[in-house]
Amino acid sequence: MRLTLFLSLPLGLLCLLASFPATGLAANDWKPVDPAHLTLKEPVVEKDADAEALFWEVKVNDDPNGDLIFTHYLRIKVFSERGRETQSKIDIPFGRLFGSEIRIRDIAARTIKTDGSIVELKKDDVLERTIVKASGVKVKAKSFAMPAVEPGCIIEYRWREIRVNQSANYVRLDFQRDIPVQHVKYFIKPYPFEGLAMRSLTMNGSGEPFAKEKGGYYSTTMTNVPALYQESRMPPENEIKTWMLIFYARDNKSDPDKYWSDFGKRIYDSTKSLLKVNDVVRQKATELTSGATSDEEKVDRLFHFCRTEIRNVSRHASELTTEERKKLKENKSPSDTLKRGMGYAGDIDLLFASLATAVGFDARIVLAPDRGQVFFNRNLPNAYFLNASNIAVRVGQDWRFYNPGYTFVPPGMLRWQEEGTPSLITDPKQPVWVNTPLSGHDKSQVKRNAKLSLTEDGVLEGQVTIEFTGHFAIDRKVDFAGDTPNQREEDLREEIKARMSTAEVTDIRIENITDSLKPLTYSYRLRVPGYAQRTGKRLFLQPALFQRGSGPLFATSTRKYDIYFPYPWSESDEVTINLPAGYVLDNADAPAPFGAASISDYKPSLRVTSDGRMLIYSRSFFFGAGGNILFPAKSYSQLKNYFDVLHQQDGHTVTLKQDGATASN
Amino acid sequence: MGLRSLVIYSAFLLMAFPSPGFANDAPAWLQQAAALKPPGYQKDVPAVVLHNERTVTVANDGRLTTVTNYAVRILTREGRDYAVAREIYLTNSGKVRELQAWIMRTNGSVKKFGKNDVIDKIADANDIYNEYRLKIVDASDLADTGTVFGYQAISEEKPLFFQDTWDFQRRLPTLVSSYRLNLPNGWRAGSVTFNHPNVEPTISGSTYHWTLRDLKPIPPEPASPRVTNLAPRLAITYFLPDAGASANARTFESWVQVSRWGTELHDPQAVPNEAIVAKARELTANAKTELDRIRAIGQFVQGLQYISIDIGIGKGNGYRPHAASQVLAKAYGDCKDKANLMRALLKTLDITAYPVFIYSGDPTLVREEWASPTQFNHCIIAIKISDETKVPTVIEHAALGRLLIFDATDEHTPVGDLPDDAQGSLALIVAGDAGALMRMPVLPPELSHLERHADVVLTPDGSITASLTEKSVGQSAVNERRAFRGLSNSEYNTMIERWITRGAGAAKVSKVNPVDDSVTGRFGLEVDFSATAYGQVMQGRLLVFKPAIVSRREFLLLTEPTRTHPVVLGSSAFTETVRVRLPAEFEVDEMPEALELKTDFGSYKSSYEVENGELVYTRRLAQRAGVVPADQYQTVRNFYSRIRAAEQAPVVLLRK
Repeated sequence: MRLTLFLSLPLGLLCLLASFPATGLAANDWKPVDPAHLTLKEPVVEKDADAEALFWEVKVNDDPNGDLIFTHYLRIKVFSERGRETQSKIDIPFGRLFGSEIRIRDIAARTIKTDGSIVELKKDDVLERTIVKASGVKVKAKSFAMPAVEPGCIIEYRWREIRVNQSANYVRLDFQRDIPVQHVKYFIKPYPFEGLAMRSLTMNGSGEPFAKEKGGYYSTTMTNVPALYQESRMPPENEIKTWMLIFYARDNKSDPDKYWSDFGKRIYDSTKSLLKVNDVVRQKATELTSGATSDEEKVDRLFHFCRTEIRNVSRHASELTTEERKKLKENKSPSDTLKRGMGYAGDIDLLFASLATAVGFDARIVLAPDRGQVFFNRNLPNAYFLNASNIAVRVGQDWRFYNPGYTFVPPGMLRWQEEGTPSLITDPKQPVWVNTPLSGHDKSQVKRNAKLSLTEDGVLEGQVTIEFTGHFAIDRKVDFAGDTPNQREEDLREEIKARMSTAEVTDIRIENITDSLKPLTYSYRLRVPGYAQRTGKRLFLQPALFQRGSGPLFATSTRKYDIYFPYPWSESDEVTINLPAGYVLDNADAPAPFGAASISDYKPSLRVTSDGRMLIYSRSFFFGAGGNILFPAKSYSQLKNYFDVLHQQDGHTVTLKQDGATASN
Repeated sequence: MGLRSLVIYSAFLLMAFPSPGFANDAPAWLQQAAALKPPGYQKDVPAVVLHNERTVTVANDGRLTTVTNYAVRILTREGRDYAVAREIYLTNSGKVRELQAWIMRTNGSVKKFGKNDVIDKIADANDIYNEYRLKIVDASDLADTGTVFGYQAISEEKPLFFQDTWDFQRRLPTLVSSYRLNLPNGWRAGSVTFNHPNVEPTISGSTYHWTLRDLKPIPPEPASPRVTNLAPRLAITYFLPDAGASANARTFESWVQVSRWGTELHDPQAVPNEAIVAKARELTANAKTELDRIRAIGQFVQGLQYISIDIGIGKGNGYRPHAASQVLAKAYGDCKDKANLMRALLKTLDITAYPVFIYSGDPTLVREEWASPTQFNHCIIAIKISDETKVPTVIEHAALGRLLIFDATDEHTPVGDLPDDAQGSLALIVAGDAGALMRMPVLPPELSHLERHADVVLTPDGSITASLTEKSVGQSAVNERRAFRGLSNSEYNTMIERWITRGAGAAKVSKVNPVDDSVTGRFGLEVDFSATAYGQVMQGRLLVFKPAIVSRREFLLLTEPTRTHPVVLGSSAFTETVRVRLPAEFEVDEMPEALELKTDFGSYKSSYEVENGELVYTRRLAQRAGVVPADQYQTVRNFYSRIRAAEQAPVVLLRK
């Protein structure tokens, strides 16, 4: 029993399938070439493009005989050598992919030179390759290189892709490529379902409404679609890329509230058996909550039990012994999970809900979107975007959300992808939408402490401890899960040396990697030759050790997409530095505090002990308060400026002068 | 979906297979290997090879049967990755007849991996077509620390050459490593040992056996020679009896023989047709000199797309170029296709050229003492030139005269220059009886030079405005050109912005103007930017800033205190002059000390001067190509760490 997607195919899988290079008509004749395209010197959609698709057409036939047939046709103008390099080698995968048999037929391709002469791809030049085969699995590709391509040429190619025994229901159609496209057109011939019609959702773009075409097809078009780019801290690709979801439904104008209400009831009914309480579960729940003095304590105990006493094989599968691996049978009920003492993440979530129900709590399965994939809009009545991911327990008047099956999430938090999102609590009568709380910046903190000494030749040396909580800790623990201790240490060394190349890092200890309740901690001994710069009579020292060598958060001056931080966070640093004998602090300047309304605040402080021998630097910073983690691209320059100032302040340098030196005064 | 995604996806698919069931005992050789007790190693040694043996049996018709027995003990969790059996084969001339593997756990239990666990995958998914494939058994998921993984592979092959190589070791320590050759009666074998004193075989009849034991681990180090130049390797050649036997594969005893063979493969493919004649005429219509003609042809051929399609490798097609006419028509080809087309084009201009077999990736790999084409992986060209043509990439051949060496594949390196990894390498001039293994030219640092000028205005609040001008030549220019051509305009600008803001955080870049002169090989770059608070004002009286505002593009980072292997250095030179207009309200209080370093492998000099309200900072680094022995590591390390420290040093201004 696994608590997984109730819906159709996973989003990522659909993306992969639909992102094949694509094109159009299956007729034998190529479309006529516009002479203006032969002489076209500059791209139309984006001025710096190395190549641009003149058109990209795809016919999608949801064939009543059972197959889903794509006919692709793509015509590309190549403007530069780089465009030639990226566009003229074509691989078309086929074989058994994602559980579906894909066949490729009727590949044709040709290069049209600037003088209008044509070089056809010969049939023999289409090579079939077996990429991998094993035990019945065989993944192949048809590969070819476009002949005689040079800047200025037009290349075009087409093929038929047959997805055997597949339907267009929940098929994803991409409208954006790695190069800009002047004209994208999809022709879709829906399956003639009785009582169901083809529907579509267009994401991040607006195409023409579907128009009726010959032969039962409907078409939609988009023009001047820019290429897709990558930027740091951008929203998930599904929020940037233009794409369309095709599905079949009875009603195109269903009321969202009614849709979700019906859906929530349906899911409740279909899953209530998964939360079944029997005597074994009830007895355990009673035993666990015995003596608890409040509802909160009861739920905490149940959570703790599920987290610590039930082995989570989703996370630890690789560490199972042969004997344990053999025991991995499907848990058909919470009682099975309890008896076996192990289960997948979904099993553990259901056991938790069942235990809570057993002692009188109202516990439900929660359907939530993943904002690491897409920003959910409940006004779009379609369950495609929801996953069954958490358990809600009513404590007092409030719904509280738990995810005991996700090993590293502490109680009171969820995966960041599921925090701060509308979530549907299933119910037999009235499902409700509740926004999951977004953990505040104080919940995801990095707390750093260094006790160091500086020598007169600029070497900084001492002990460092770092503590991560909340999402910081979760992310790192997840990353660490597959790593070996040596790899973790090496990664930490690399991380430090990337900022301070001369750093020597020893005596590394990394603790609480598998403990979801405790902060993740690092401690290590640090020695950095040349940390302070020495001139004839001064030493220059950057007190912000943990920011030393970091570049500004945003390096580029322009921005295409919105800026997205996954969660609010805070930082708290304290650095004490014993000053070298013979040197005293020359300037007492401190970096200046600043903030941005209630979203962020930066507070540094710098002082010297009364004997003048120790410098104490502290720094606190938070960002994203009030749930402000998504910023429009138009505010980029303000945001960049804010972080640039932070970077400058972190680079603040103090001067130590030789005791008794007078020259500078 | 790219092929890379597909391969990754396939891997996931395959991971979903059921794990192998209980099976039989391990074979005796594996049990014996597992019983070996390795010495203690440092904790970062991930695994130890207990037994590595290849047995090659040559049949009378020249066919080979190869049995590989391999056993490795996993010492750390990282070592799990070594519990993988990989056997490469060529689809048309060989096959892996059998691949079996075993995991022996510390508790004595044994698991066997058989036919159903074998993955068969393409060796290089990026090539349009490649006949090399791999059979793999991946037991890494089950290989806990302490377990022994072993495999036996039996392959059959119709070889192209009666030559083979044997790596006694890669990076892992190895207890026993051996190569056994069973020849038909009357055949004989010879061997050469690299990176180790000569290993003599024990010979019994026509069976030869080479063995090494107790080889220490070879840990990776930055700027180190490749492991192929550190670990002991064996090169074997076997010979038919003078009469009686016959076989299709070849044996070479001298480089001239290799040259003759290469010439047979290449010459027939370099025949010009009308299209080639016309193209050569068109390309050189405005060329006035021999060098102009070579440049025009070279630039054209380099500009063709690199696409490798080798069909029939087992028949020698991995060494035989496609016909020049075909390559011109399709406008793509691989290295040998390009070199061959260039020969054909030059031939129509009465310029003679020869293919050159070379190893790309390590200029020290090819060894003179073993004549074999298997030492090479790349093909460039040697062009016979007259005395009028003067470029640095010329070698003198005793019979053929002056030969201009050129890589027709590397589109970033023009005529007159050579890629870094070709310089100094031994390479075979493929010229029939006149063919010879020759050392490729090494260009001095000044021919791989980047020169930068920066004009900077510093204001009293520490802000700067700056204009940078860079000019580079040779391989320094190639690095710039590769980045420029490999990225879209916006990506390139972003790269420049990141580079500038690494030195001057919060800098705003207002101009990026690259100038790529692919004929002369020069590359220019102009960048304007400004940055607030670059200098820091202290107490209103001091203004502190670093005159080394932007970093050099490359820097050798040698931070480890000790070293096992030599340091390999490339040839390059860098000079920079920074002129900083100082704010009138300030005067210089302290300047860093000038630094001058001179060593056998390089030199560095920096200076600071103030003249007419300007601070003039210069730095000059020249690094000579070479290999510095490990016992001189501290000298190299100190050289670079002193430079690094000097370039961090600030200038202190004091308010007047």
